[in-house]
Amino acid sequence: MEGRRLPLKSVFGIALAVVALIVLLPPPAPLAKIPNRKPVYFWHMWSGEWQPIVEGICQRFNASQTQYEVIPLQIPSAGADSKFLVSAAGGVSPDVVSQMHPVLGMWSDRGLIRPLDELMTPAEREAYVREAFPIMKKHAIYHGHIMALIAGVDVNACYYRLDHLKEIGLDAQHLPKTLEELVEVAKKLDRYDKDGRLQRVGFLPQTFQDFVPSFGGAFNDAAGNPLLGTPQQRAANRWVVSQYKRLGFDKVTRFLSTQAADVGITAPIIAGNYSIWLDGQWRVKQTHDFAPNLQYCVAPLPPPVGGRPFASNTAANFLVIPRASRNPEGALAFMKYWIGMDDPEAGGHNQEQMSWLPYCQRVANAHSYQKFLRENPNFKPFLDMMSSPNLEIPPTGPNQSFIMDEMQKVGESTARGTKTADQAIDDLVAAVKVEDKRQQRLGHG
Amino acid sequence: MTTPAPSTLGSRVRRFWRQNGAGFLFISPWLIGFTLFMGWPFLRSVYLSFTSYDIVSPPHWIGTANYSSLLHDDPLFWKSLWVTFRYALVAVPLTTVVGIALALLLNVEVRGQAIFRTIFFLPSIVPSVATSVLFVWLLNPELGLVNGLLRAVGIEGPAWLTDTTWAPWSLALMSLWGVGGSMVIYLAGLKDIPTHLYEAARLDGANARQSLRHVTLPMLTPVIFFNVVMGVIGAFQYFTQAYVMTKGGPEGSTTFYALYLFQRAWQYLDMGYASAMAWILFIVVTSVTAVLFTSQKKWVHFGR
Repeated sequence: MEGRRLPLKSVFGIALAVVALIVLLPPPAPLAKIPNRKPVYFWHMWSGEWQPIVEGICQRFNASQTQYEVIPLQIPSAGADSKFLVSAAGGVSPDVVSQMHPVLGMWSDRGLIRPLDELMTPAEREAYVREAFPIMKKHAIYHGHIMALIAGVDVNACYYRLDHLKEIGLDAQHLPKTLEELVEVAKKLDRYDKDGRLQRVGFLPQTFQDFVPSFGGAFNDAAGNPLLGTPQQRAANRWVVSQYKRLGFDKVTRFLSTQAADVGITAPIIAGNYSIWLDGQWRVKQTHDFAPNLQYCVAPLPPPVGGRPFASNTAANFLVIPRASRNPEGALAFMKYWIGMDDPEAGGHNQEQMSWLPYCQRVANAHSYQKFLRENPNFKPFLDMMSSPNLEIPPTGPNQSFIMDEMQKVGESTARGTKTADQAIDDLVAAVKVEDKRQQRLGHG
Repeated sequence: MTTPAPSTLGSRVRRFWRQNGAGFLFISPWLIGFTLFMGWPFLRSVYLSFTSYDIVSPPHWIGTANYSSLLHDDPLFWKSLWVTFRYALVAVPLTTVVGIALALLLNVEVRGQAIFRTIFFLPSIVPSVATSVLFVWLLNPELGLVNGLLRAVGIEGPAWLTDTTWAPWSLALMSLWGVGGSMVIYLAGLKDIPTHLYEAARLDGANARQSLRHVTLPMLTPVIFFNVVMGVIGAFQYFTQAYVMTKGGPEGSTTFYALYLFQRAWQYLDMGYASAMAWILFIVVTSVTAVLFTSQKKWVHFGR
């Protein structure tokens, strides 16, 4: 028995020694680098070429004042939402989150993020509402509260390959004026190989959402609730289906599968897979960086006959303050610096570095931003669109993630021809209706 | 004369601790980890499945509403269950047959046998995310190796992962990539079959096919049973490949149960609902396993 007791004591001893060692080990180096500053923990999803730019913005903010230190942390996009949710549930969330997925309505309704109204002064609120472009307010204000500041908004316009247009006798001064004309031009630009496979597509719509604003529609009603199954959405989807049908559903599926990742040198417009490509303003910087000699021009999507000009579906990069933030004042200061509320020159510099659109004309007029516009004339059409009332935001509300997933299914079925355009929209409306009722029964609605 | 109960109990506890204390201390990190990170969440999820819980606000008791909604109001629940069940129905028999066939082939004494075994086993230890990315390219309809080979013999292959008809079967076929794991277990099972049974069969005039039918397969049934049970459990938890390769598409044709559960929990913030889904999955898997355990009396030969 004595022999058995001894090992037990040894086990205790070793365990205690290990615990003591762990306790005595020096703590990890603190993330904060500047003494006597209140830390502002900032989670973002910007990787690759964007990460140093974002970190540069943080450094400039840290250098611009003496109260706060922003500590950026890059979170991989795929798991970012779940990581944030876990942190929020644990009460140790970051102070600022940059979010590129359309979740503002859902996060607001669930109380995950703080209304910025609570933190802004009345003068700041008034200035923001007065100055901000209409599309910025559509994205940032949810049910009457400013829930986010928009670090950048993606507005779509058509990129035209001038060398392709030249093949059919067109140039930058003779671009299509209507969507119908665009289709006729696109037909002439399609190219097939000897086996009948698509080699190049004149113009290929990606989602029906991209065309709804041009057809006169939106995704939210005046009260900010999701609006689905409207005649304009149906018309847009019918048009999209007609384009896939024209090219052949199977041919398009196969053509799309040959496309590499759409960033950098393999971007569709750079690679020449498309002659006309509907895309966001950020592609101007990509093209400048990866194909500086590419001959192209940009113009707003031509509307269908009777449709709305200067229209686009848009996406936003939100800056939000989680409810569990320990330093919301510092967070707001950083967010205001990013977009240039207090310092338009700094904001203009931040925006042009990211190749983003400013939140108001005052920032657009900043010297740094104007210099960027002079160097990148293809960016100007996007800025011109910013004051347009025809820019729309994705569906919002507590079930917006569900709606976005169902919209994706609309895109998949219409691209493959498995449903008619109207059937796909009907199914979307029905699925969302069922989900809304279900959520109400479960006490969410 | 009997000793008082408390002292008996106390002495028993002391004796038990003396005899087993060191062992428990050694496994205590695992015990503590299991209790905290598995046992507690496991029990907690039972409670959460009866609540409306979005991870941010405190759970709100709603009784059996989640279960009722799942069974009566949620077409995606039934669809995802069917997608998963159909996958299990195809992938488990497929991997079982191919696993046994490979094990039989690799059990033949030939030069380089160990190398062949290694080659067939290696794919099963490649991380599933890496495998998924690899297969996205292999199954690319235009640039992929699979359709390239088919094209070489005059067949235009389908759009494997982007066609609603083919996508679920593509994933089922892909399950063969990991067959090396079960193959090794079958090989071990084959090695465990006593040679005297083959000698007796030969003396009785059995040929190779008859030996396989009447000796090898019956003796291998405990191993087959084990692999089938594990395969069924794995199939019902199928997630990674669908998440990486198809995200549940096209048009929900590969929305497996675990993927839908994940969406409910982390995309739609329906933790209570997702907990109910997890418990329904647990019941389904337990039921299927129970059926397998019941049926094994008829086809598994444990005796020698």
